[in-house]
Amino acid sequence: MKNNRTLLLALVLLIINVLVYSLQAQTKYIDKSGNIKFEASEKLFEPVEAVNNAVTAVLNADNGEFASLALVTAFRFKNSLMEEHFNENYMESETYPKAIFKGELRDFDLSNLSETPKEFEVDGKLELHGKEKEVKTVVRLHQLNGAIVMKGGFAVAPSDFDIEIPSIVRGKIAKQVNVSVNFKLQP
Amino acid sequence: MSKKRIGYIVMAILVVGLITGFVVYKKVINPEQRQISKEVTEFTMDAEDLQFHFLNDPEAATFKYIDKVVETYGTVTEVGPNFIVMEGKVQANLLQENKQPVKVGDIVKTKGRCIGFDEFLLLVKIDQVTIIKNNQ
Repeated sequence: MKNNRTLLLALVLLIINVLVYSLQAQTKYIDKSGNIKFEASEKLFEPVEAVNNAVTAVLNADNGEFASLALVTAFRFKNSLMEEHFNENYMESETYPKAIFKGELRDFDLSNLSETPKEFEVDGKLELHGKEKEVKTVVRLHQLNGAIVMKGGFAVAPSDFDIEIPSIVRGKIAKQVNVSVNFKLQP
Repeated sequence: MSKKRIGYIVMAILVVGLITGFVVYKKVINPEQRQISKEVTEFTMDAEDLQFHFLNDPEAATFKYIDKVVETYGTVTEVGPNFIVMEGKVQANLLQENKQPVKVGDIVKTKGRCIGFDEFLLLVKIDQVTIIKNNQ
């Protein structure tokens, strides 16, 4: 009888453990190798575009809080000279190695997600090159095999972040930089 | 000096000029992408040490390791679609064309370019990684 009781207690503890663990695991969805692209091309000139495939994104599924961190050096251009200029002259990536977005998905509810994309408004702040700027945009979310796929984009201007484009190349780089994001957030 | 000789000299100058032009174009105006796996390694250390440097003094570590070729080793604790994590401390994003079968528990040595520290997940990130040793 005593043996039985200890067994029962152990079982209950085990169930509680699993429950607590699964609750914790459910709250945060993370992508460690998310994808961000940006494009600032002008017609007739060489495309100005780069891809970063090592972006971290974290979504708190309980309240819709969202944060993302992109390491500036990880942006890769087709033209390596452009990449060098981007890091050394514009972004100064040794001094400002990160671009961080922190914000919130409005009216986020995990149970509303399905396999068909649903739009959410995002409000937040983007910090890079030592400057901060408010960003408002819309992202589309859908579920895929237990993961949450997030796609969206927004536009920023280099001048918002005190990034000066020298006059020689000003005509070759668009005033607006279009950023697109693609995350697959795993529980 | 004969005309023939002058002709040869002019031709030689032209050829040298063309080659210089081509070299300048290739090296300065349109240099090729770096091939990290073929570059000389600047730092070699285990995953734990590398992360410790970034935890201890992020600014100094960033200055020291960013964009540098590093070799890191440790036990694989996670395998993602295009990356592996060593010791839960260093994330290595693999070169697409260099996918190798790696599983959790393998002890690997990797070579790649350090791109910085992810303060959200406390991971040092390395990209363009090739796995140079895998002792299962």
